[in-house]
Amino acid sequence: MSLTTDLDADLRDSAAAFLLAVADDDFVWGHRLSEWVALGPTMEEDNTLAAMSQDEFGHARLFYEYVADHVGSDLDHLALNRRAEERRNTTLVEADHADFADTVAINYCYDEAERLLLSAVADGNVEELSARAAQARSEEPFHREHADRWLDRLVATDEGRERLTRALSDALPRAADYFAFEDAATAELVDTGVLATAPADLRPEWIEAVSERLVEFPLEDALDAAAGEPALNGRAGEHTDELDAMLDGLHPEGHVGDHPIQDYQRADAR
Amino acid sequence: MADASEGERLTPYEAERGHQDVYEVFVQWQRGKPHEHAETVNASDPDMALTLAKRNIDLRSDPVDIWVAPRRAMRRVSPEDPSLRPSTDRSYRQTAWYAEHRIEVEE
Repeated sequence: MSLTTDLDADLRDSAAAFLLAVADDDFVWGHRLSEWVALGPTMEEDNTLAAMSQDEFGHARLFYEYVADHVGSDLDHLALNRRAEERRNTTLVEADHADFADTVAINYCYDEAERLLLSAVADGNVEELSARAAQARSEEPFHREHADRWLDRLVATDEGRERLTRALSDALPRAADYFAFEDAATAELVDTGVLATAPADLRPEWIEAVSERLVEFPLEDALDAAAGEPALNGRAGEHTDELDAMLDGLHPEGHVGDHPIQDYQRADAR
Repeated sequence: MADASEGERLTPYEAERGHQDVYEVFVQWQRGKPHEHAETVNASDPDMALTLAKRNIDLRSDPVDIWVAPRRAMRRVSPEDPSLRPSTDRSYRQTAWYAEHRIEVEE
């Protein structure tokens, strides 16, 4: 099926709204990874996080491009100028973090979820979208490998285990909104085959995979929270102040010159 | 290179805190060509070294294969090693020597 000729306008709007959330996930997570540049635990890890950040920005670009074409916007505006309340990313990826264990915990939780969601798009029947999702998915195995390596190594010392357990306890409840897309909109996409599976139906699979992988950690409460109602639903535009701070950080005050990011309105100026 | 962790969970790495080894990274850039030394990475163990090496080389050049080896497991010669320099002229061992020292044979 082709998006432009076979889908009606309402459905294209729903597809664009869905992909905007996927793109926001990648953009925000890519930015958080980039914050490690020059601060990584080792030079090798610094380079690796920067490379993963670039992967995420590349994936964000794939989906923002489609959305920009559809809504008549451009990449800079979609990626840089939208304020926190306009964003649809999961609150999992927006958290500020100074502990490397947070990065490992979020990377793992996010990657396990994104793999499922991208498969739902890649196995859908709209070629323009499934090809983009398959392309993004093909780079994810490395991110998973990176997460697995560190999950297995940070537990080598008591301190590492404690800090990783704390980081996972924080990350898991915030992942509760990952699959929490508006049911009516996604049902329409599933009925027409744009998505092979409804995001809500992928959630049990994610919970099972995460519970199995993290079985050695005392995370019962955090896993319950991850399976429950989200405290904040990023898919509905609910976000923490940390996202405002991150976006404001992209737009320093006193910015001079003609640049597309000038259209942004800082949170502290609103 | 086969990944030792494939299909099975690694046991937690039991090294002293902060222990790192130096690993030499060799990359094969083209099928059929030799692996070339590309860089050095610090890592806790060989699997981590390979993971880090993968994102510390130029992926845009489409590498075919990567090897990592701990430097402490490698042996090298010193540039001053006398065994690298033959003590006598051995050019006669090469066929070119005979072309340069052609002996005219009279009939």
